[in-house]
Amino acid sequence: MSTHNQFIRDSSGNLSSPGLANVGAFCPIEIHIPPQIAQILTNTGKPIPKCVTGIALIDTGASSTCVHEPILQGLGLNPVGVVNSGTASGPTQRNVYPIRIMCPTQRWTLDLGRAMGVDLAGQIVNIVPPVPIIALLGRDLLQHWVFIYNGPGRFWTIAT
Amino acid sequence: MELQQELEYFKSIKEDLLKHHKNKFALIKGPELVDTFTTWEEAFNAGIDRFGNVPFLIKLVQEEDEKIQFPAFVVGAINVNP
Repeated sequence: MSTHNQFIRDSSGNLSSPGLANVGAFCPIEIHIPPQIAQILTNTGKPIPKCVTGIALIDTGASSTCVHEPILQGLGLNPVGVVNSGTASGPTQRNVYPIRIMCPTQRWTLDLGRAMGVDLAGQIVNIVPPVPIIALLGRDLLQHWVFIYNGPGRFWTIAT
Repeated sequence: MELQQELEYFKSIKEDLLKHHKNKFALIKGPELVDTFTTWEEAFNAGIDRFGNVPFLIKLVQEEDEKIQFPAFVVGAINVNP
């Protein structure tokens, strides 16, 4: 089993429970096109788009992984489904895209058939300096990982 | 939104799909049901093989459509600081 522990410290370097509550569980990720589409591009002599790197927030409240939709469109991906999602103003339809997610620090790779395209503009992980969130990692991804959020210990763990 | 034609077609044939292909994944392009598949991956691979990297609809055949939830984002609670 490959394991990653992330301890959260304050500006003095001390472990911080408020700090963990403030920033949440986040990890660097890469968004790639799925290998089936990469193969098509290769077969037709087209360049494979470079992956997009950024920070994702682990969101146990999300049933599906969500990715900032302009990133998906920028990778040249097309929707392969539509799902209904609830919003404060009522249900809405959202596009679903196939993606490959990689966790570069651990070299974990996961092909997700159904990542939902959403607008994450303005969403940040509140570290110094703040960084934009490019994806919310939902329970469809977490069903493949072990995830432990240890508040008193001021850390969280992911393992696969 | 893309795939509206496919969604409309899916709705128009849903009753028949439920009778014969319940819990399968329907692959639809335009006003055409390509086939149904046991897994999403099979449907996706068939869609890519046949149409390439273009929009097409993969839809699980079931009575109630799946509803995706992500409450923290929806209510704006991802970055709330005291």
